[in-house]
Amino acid sequence: MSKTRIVTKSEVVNKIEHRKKVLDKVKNILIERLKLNLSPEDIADNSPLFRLGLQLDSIDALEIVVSIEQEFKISITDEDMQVFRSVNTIADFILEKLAKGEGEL
Amino acid sequence: MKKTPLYEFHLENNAVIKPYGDVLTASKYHEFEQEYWAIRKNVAMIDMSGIAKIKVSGGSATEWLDYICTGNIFSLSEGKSVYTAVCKEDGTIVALICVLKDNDEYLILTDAEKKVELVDWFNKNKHNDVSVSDISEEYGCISVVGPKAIEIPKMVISEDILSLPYLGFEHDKINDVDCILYRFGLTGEYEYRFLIPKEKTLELWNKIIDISKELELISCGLDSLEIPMLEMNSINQQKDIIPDATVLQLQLNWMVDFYKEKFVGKEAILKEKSEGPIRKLVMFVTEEGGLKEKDKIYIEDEEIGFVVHHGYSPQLKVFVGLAYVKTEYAYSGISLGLQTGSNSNAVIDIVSAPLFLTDTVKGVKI
Repeated sequence: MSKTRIVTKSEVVNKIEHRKKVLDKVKNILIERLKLNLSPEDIADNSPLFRLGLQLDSIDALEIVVSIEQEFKISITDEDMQVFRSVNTIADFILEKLAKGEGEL
Repeated sequence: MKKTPLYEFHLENNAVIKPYGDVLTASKYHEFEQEYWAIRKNVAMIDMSGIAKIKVSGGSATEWLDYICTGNIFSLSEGKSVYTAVCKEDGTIVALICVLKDNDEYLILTDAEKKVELVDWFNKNKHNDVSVSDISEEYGCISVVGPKAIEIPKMVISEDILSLPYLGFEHDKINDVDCILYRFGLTGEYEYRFLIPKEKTLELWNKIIDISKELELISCGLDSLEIPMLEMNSINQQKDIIPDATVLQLQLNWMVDFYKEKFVGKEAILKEKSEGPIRKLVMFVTEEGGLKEKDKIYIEDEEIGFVVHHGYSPQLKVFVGLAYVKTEYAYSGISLGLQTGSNSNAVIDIVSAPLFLTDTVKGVKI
């Protein structure tokens, strides 16, 4: 981070558009695979997945991992499990993979 | 001002005292980082006796609570609780509360600062056959927080508490005194709260100190919870909920059962969901240490938000905060301009929450 970075609107808008596609896809995966009685608009990007928030359990966690691997064609290791904190943290992980040329949107 | 049952003890032991709502209690015992690391690495003991404790009972207590809370009270089972919101008809927030289902009654817990407003709101809106009693002063509340906190109720009560789930509670006896053990917390660590008659609170506090020397437990003030909560994106009702904020703006969608038939504020919340909230509360990190509440956030020359809460994260070694930002820019992974009193060209990075996985969560199967 630098205090003198220039932040341009076009750079920000492009990043947001790219991120929105990933967020929408992750929310739809959660709803369809876990059969949640929710619409994508019901799920906030920062909603916790476990304990509070969506209150998912360990079986749900396994289902999410498999689904994300299939849908984005990426592999998820045990060390990666810490990214499953919210929809947003999952999106960060997927975007990082995509930036490295892994997987597909 | 009222005082918690441990007030004199805190004074004698050189704690910093300050008011929370109308109650005086310990805000700080040690330096900031010492208390922070007690929560993140060992266990902190905190006097939370000032929290509001409200009993709700009567023939239609369940129906009424379901109507005034955004969450679902009918689905709540015995010995469980729900963390939910009480809203006004316009969708703005009266308070965030814990509702504990205890036989035919409910125990409502919320911050001391919210007590007067919540009790007034309950009394103005309750059904005729619902009884609302403020029992805040009858009970003390001692909280133990941290990855080692689970050891305390095991020693004070029994090994059986291992089966107590998050948001669960149980009635227990400590030295033949009835108490409630409640597992709830917003720091991402283990947290157990002992609700105990006020005259027995000091006895339990001393007992916990005596039995927990090997756990490196220290007494902490109530303010020690602020940064660990902020790191987890847990809402601080005093700082983060500005007067016209709504649950959707706070990204607390999960507190709302959008599909139940009716609740106070439903129409306004559904309208806001349909149109999209005008702003959202987002988490940020920055190297800029001189920021203050209400500092403005920009993209190029357009003002798009403001800071409401910030602090230093010892774990991440960076300043973290929450800001309201226009919804179109409320996305992680972007950087925005920040104007502080001393720096008109500072930058914040919007980040995803919670910021990290705590030692407690790493050590627990989901």
